[in-house]
Amino acid sequence: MKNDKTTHFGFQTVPVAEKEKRVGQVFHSVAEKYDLMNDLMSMGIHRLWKRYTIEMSAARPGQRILDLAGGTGDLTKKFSRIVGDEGSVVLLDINESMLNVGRDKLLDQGFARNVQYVQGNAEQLPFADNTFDCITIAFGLRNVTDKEAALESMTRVLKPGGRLLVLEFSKPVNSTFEKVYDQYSFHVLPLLGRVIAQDSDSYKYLAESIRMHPDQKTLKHMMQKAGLDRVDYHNLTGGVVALHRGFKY
Amino acid sequence: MDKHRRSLVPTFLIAQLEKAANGALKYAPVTRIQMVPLKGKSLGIHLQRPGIPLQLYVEKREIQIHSNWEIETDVTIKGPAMSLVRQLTKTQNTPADLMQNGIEIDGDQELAEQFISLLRNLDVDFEGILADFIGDIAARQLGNFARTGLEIFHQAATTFAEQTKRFIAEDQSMVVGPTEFDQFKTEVDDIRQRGDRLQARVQQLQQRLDSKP
Repeated sequence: MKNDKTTHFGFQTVPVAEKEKRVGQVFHSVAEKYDLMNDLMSMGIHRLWKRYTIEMSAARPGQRILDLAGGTGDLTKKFSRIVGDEGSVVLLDINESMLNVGRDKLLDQGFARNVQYVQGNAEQLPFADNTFDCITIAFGLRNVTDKEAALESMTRVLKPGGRLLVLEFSKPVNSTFEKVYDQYSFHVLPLLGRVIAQDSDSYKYLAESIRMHPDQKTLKHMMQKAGLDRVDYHNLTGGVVALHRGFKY
Repeated sequence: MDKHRRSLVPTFLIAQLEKAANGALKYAPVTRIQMVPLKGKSLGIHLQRPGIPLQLYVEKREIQIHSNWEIETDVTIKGPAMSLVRQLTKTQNTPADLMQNGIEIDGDQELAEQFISLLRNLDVDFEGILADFIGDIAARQLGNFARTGLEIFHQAATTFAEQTKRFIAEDQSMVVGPTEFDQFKTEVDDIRQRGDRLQARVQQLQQRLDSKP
């Protein structure tokens, strides 16, 4: 039987089965220059967004943490230092190239004892129920085809009392700032992509996928629907990025 | 006003503070050895006036500093920023000293003392830091120059303080000495007692007048 369900890939509408493949191609293409591009595009502010996420995670020694769509391992590195030898961090990414870059980077920096690497899909996490004290997904959820399924899967593997943190691009609060941000996203980002990573299409997708991602309130509602409690969100840099936090009870 | 808005300025400042602290620790080998027993321990510092919450977490060779970390620290020190800094300059603190200065310690007291002692005895090799940039010889000369300069400054500051004290108390008589002040206090007490007696006497007389038919 033909599956004619569709979803969005940036501003395009594509069959559901194709989105994963296309997103995979984007990240295969950008993996090597991912960290450099992040620094350039955000002017280094992504480090502060991630640092804020770490603080909100309330991670502590001995805990088990899942860094979903962890890519090049920025959050994993920090968590690895906090949980220590008694705890562990799982870096999971669906994309082999990103996972390879992350693993090589972390191993080169001496993070080996308490970090595990898993290639997997956020919609069907390969872990038992109630496994993790904390789950983070930073700039990954908007690339997931079925976000509801992914949020439900995350809730399932979270321990009771554990927290899920979703760091993701969102909707700027101020309309004037939003116009400036649009100009930057649709003109500067693809240009940077073309010059630095020789790939403007991937960065055009980045800008488009941000616009298609649910806004703060919608994502909050989705998290509540997935079974999380006390869901709230913090707008960072005027709402360019939002950190959503929810607990499982 | 967006109630969900969070500023990243404190996060940025704390990140810089952590970077500077760990940079300094690289040049403080003795302090790094003293840190070993504290590995895995956390300290909360709740500065008041200005109100800044800080959380320190000790790792093998470095420390992590956070401002919004929602964890229960092993020990928390609360107090005005200036009082805390002042306590760090003292060689020893008794619990009474700390309470007098509005400093509260919540949690493992011994651990708090270990943290305070570590910060107080922080021994950073500034010449070592300079040497990495300008070479050993130039760093040594600059170090000598700075030490001499500091010594001269310290002497000048002490002399200035003493001279100022003498000028105000003796030459200008703008403030009174302790003996003069005690005598004045005794006289004030005496006048107050006399006043009280007089008031009691007047009340008695008033009562007598009122009781007459």
